[in-house]
This record gives sequence, C-alpha cells and structure tokens, in this order.
Amino acid sequence: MLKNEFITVLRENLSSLPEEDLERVLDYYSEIIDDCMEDGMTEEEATAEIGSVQEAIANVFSVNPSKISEETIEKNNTAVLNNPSYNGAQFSSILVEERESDVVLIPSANGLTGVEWHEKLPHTAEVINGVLTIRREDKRRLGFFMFGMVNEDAKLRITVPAGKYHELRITTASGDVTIPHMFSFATADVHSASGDIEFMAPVENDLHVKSTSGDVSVEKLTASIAEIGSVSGDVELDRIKTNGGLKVKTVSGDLNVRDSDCGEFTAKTVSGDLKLDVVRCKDCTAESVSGDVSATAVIASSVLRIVSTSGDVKLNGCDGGEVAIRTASGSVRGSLLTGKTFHCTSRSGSISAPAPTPGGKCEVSTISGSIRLNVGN
Amino acid sequence: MDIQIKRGLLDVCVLAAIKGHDSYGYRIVKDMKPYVEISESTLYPILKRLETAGQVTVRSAEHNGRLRKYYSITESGLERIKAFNSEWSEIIEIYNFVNREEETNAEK
Repeated sequence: MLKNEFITVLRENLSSLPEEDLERVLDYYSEIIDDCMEDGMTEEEATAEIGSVQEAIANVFSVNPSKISEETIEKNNTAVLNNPSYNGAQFSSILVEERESDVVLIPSANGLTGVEWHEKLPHTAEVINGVLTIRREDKRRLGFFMFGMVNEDAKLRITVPAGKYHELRITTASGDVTIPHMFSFATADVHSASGDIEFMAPVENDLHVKSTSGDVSVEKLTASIAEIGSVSGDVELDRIKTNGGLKVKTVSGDLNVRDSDCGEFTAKTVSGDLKLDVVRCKDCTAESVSGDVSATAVIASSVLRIVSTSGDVKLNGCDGGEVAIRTASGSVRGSLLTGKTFHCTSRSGSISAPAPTPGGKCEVSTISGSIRLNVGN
Repeated sequence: MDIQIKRGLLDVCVLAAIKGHDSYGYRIVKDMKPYVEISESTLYPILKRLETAGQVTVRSAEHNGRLRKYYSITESGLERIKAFNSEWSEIIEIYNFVNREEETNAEK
C-alpha cells in the first residue's frame, strides 16, 4: 500500500472524529511513514511497517470515543449511542447468526469492539451497512466432523461499548444467549432452538424472545411491547414494565411472572403451570389447557380473564373491573379484593360465592369443577 | 499480561524513551523495540494519554522540508518515572510473596 492510499483509508474510516483530532492522527501517520522512508524503507515497506490500517483505526478509537461514552453514560443512565466501530466501520445495530456457541454480549471497558470465537468454530465478523454482522461460517461438512469435538461451552464473546443500539437480532441453534443490563436497544429479537436465553436490557420499542426447548429468563425489562416464549422450556419474568403489552407463551414449560406492570397482558400455556405474582395491567388473559393457574395480587384495571380446561384456578387477593373465569373440570377457588355481582355456574360441582354487592361483574363457569370464592382475605 | 498493568508499564517506557532527549514517533518506537513490544499504532494512544495527563509536551519543528512532532518530558512526567521506581520495590515484594516457598502451609 502506498502512503496516499494508507492515509485515504484512514481518513475515510475516521470521519466521525472532530476535525482537529482527525488532522492530528493523519499528521502522525504521515510523519511516521516519511521517517520510515528516510530511514531507507520503500513506500510499501513503510506502510507495511506500521501494520494494518485496522490496527491503526482501533488504536485511535481506543482514546477517542471512550471519553465520549463515559461522559454520556454519566450524564444519562441509558447512554446515547457512542460511535462504536469495528475494523474502522461504524455500526449501530448488531446481528448474530450462531449455531453451537453461547452468545455473550459484554460491555467494553475501553470503548473498543472485539469479537472472539472458539478457534475450531470459524466465524465471520464485519460491519455491513451499519450493522455489526457476526455469522458462524457455514462449512457444514467441517461442522459435522467438528461436532462433538468442540468443548460444549464454546463461547462467542461480543465486546462492544455499553449504551444504546438501534437493533439487536440474534439467532442460535444450541447456544445460550446472555444480554446484560448495561445495553439498551430500540428493538430486539432473540431466538434460540435449544439454548437458554437471559435478557436483562431495556428495549424502547418491541422485544421478541423465543426459545424452542431452552429456558427463558427476562429481568428488569422496560419495553413498549414484549413477546416472550418457549415451547418446552420454562419462562421466568421478573420486574417487567411494558406500557403497550406483554405476551408470554409456552406449550409444556412452566410460566412465572413476578412483580410486573404491563398494559395488555396475555399468558398462555398448554400443559405448563402458570404462576402470576403481583401483576398490574389493564386487561389480563391467562389461559391454560391442563396446567394449573395460580394468581396472587393480579390487578387488572379492566378485565381479568382466566381460562383453563382441566387445570385448577387459584386466586389470592386478585381483582379486576370485571372478572371472568371459565374451566371445564378444574376447580376455582380463592379471594378477590372487592365485592362483585357474582354469576357462578357449575353443572356438577359445588358452588360457594359471596353475596352480590354492587360493583363489577364476576362470571365464573365450570362444567364439573367446584367453585369457592370469597371477598377480602 | 493484564491490560491495565501493561498500559501503565508502556506509559513509563515511553516517558523513559524521551527522558534524555526530545524524540519523535518513529524514533521512540525504534528505541523501545529491542526491549518492549510496541508498534507505531499502539504508540499513538499512549502519547495522546501522556499529553492529556500533562506528562509530555509536543512541539512541531521543521525537518527536511516537512514538519515533525517532537515530544519532551515534563516535570510531572519525571515524577511519574520516580513513582514507578519507588513502586517497583513494592512489586518485587508482591512477587516474592506470590512465589514464596510453601512451608507456611505445611506448618499447620
């Protein structure tokens, strides 16, 4: 590479720097190249002596953006995007297509971006149109032979500056995914076939988290809308705040929601148990086919709706403007906080409900289950 | 080596390279290379850091019809080298402790 080319590539990749800093960097490298040549090297040798342009860029960013990011993080807990770049190209979104490695997002201590993977599991990492794109290299034949040879806890470690990103998209086959709370995203989509997912970062708009057989755990999330689910894995949600809505779904896994505040809340499972603890929402719909539904301090400002076929429904200090509970063979028991006009029907089970008081409707119907409800404790 | 320790050591090495005489980028690297692993690219952030910390000052001077930046050490830079030298005896103590004979354990 000639001096001009080296400087041009450098200039293009550092265009985000303040003019003064940029000139300083270019002067520095231009001087080094001149000095190398004065020392007897050819122009080509001189640029080779410096090493790769990427290395030069990474070192420049090691002093420049980290300063910005620390300042912005101090000012504002969910920091503004801080010009993260990889190999000199800036990105605001992260895309990962992974197979067997666990994907871990790590906040960078020095403002630099780094991607590390297991040496026997080749990956590509590059910035495409502002997206840091990391892919497991698709050499199926090789992958087949490697399978089983590689340590089970191979990791794909993505170290990026903490702060806010536009979009996060991760898919894995068997790898787990961990997203810590130092990051935030405008939208996030995490999908794993058999890996577990742990997601703790705030999301401004939509969050989608889905695993087929892995467990999913989401903590301290704020989002506009969140859809979270697993087919056979368990789902644990703790301290979720969504002003739009929260939808959670499992087929055979258990579903636990704790200490959450959401607009429209829907929780559905087929055979897993459903446990809701301290949930405030507008409408609540909890559905199960054979799993039990247990709700403690679930308050719906509009309608609290619980449907089960053979699972039992247990309420403890719940309430809704309106309450509607329906089961086929499951029993319904427990307490509501305020009085209602009760309409309870059971074809073959026993019924015990408080006397109606003016207030919202509470309709409970079952075919063979028994009903025992009271108001207060 | 631990990145924080390495960073601190490199800072001191660069200060040492300009302690006796003002120097410029290419020469600093050339002087350091026989002793320490360093490249022109890794030198850049170190110089910038030292300048920000007031341990190094920069001036431009004409050389063969072009400008070259010369770095000189400041009082505070010399202090830093002194501090490093006095800390070194502590580091040796720590090293000795880390590598001490296991007899103390055997006594139990």
